[in-house]
Amino acid sequence: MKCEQAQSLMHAYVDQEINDLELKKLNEHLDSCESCTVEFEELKYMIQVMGEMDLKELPIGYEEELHQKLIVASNEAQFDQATHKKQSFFSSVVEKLSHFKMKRRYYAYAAVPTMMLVVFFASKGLLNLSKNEMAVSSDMNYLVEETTAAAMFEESQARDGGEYGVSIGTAAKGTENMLTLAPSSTPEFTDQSDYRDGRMIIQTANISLDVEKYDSVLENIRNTVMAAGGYVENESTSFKWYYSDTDNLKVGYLTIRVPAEGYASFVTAIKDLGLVTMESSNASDITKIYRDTAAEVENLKVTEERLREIMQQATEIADILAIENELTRIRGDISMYTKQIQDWEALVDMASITINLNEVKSLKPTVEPIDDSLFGKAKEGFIDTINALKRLMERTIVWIVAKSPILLIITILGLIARWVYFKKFNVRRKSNEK
Amino acid sequence: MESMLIEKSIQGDVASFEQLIVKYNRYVYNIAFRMMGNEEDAKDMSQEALIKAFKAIGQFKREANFSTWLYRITINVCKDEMRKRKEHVLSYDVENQDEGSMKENIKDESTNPILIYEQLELKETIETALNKLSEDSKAVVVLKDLLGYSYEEIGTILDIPVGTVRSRLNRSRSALKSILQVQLAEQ
Repeated sequence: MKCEQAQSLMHAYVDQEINDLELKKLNEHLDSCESCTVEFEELKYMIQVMGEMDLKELPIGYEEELHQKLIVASNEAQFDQATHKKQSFFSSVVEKLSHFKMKRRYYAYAAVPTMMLVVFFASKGLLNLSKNEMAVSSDMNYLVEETTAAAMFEESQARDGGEYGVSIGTAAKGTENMLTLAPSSTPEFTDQSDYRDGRMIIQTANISLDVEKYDSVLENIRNTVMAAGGYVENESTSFKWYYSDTDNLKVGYLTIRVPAEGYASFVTAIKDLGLVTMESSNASDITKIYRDTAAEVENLKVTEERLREIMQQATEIADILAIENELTRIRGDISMYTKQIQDWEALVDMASITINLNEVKSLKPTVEPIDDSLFGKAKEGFIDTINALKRLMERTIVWIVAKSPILLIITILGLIARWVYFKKFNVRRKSNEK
Repeated sequence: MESMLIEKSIQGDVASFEQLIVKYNRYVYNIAFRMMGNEEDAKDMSQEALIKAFKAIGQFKREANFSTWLYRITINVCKDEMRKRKEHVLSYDVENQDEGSMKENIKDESTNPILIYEQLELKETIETALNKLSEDSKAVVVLKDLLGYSYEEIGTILDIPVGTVRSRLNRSRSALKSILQVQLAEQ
């Protein structure tokens, strides 16, 4: 066998596609040919090492990036289909988009006008939003801005005679056009009235009171709460029976919600009902997070509107379903945030106060007559001693009776021990006498 | 499950497509990485391939294996890109390589370099050596020896007969080994 043949058999061997006859031939050749043996070992080793090479992990952010690109791709396809079917006021732009094959490197160029766009809006104060809210909230925004900006670049490029340099001038021109062509791509606050102005503060207080007449105080608090337009959220009352069953004293707590305006006066009123043993209050300012969420909702609403516009142009079932999907997601988000906002508003409107009530016999410190005569003290001491003796006797008797079985055994053992001892003593004495 | 996801993806549902490719992502990325030779290009190319697949999923034939189809797109995307950059890529393929003389050089060495070097170093060396192969050679070696596909599967992925896979693989491995030996001798 020639070395060439042997080599092809080697490859078959490492791929485990060799039959017995071929293997035998290969072995025979290897026995006689040293260079092929070296070759074979090297090949096997190389294949082995390559088989052990690990798969690389996906880079960080890979899937997010892909998601963005896929959204762009999917919407491009939708735009294509939509424009083929219907003519609309911006169909000329969209047509350009559909003819414009997005090449990879254009993304880089497209990023420049997109950046310019953001800066432009920010400096002009068109977006009445804080920095957080400036962040484009949804993929849709990203799509429209990027693709449109890319189209703008294409346009300006054509105007400039196909030059590749991007100057600030053309980019700025692009953004101005952008405003007229696709106004809906900018999330603007058109209607702020749905949301609250001013500070949003959630107030909570915790008061502990010692009171003389539990029931009347409780009734009093209830009435005051009702009168103030609030309500009792939680209430619990129980007897302190576990350590005193004679006085029927009660303990309890109640959580009440009162309108935020009457909060301060209400707290003062409650404090007058008894002796305050503990008081704490807390006010958390949620203004920022409230505004952020409100802005998020507005952004989503803009996106929703735009999707509806696209929906009107879609004729294919597949498109409609895809848009419907996206709409459902956005509607879900909107209602989630809206609910959160309403919850916050309710919390801000109604301050919550937790009152712990503790009934005591008397709020006044008790003054007992002090018998300071010598005889009185002696009498007290005598009685104490007698009582102590009595208790000692009692305990001793109880102890003896209780331990009697053990004591009995010990006594018997002691007697036996004594008997044995004396017996030995007697024996020794007798032997001594002898 | 997969066919349902494919169906939805054809309708343009991005989420379904993402779910569909989630187990292949890493392989696609790794194929691209081996083909392109660096992480940056691997990311760009694998994403381009996946987007291409998403756009063209309507043309996917059900009787074929989805992963096979996906890998074919990946390899083609990488090959296209490399062809575009052809002027910068030096090919050390068997056809245009003076293999004989190179082997002669090696044979003079009394020791066998491959067996001396640590595996780790060797792996790095193999990575650089792989990058010197031509696209077609690289594709078969990557699919067979790194990812462990069978001749038949490689044939389907690359759309070539099994016989061609075998001969190309043998040729590519020999070329790779030659490159390795040269590299190791230089070190």
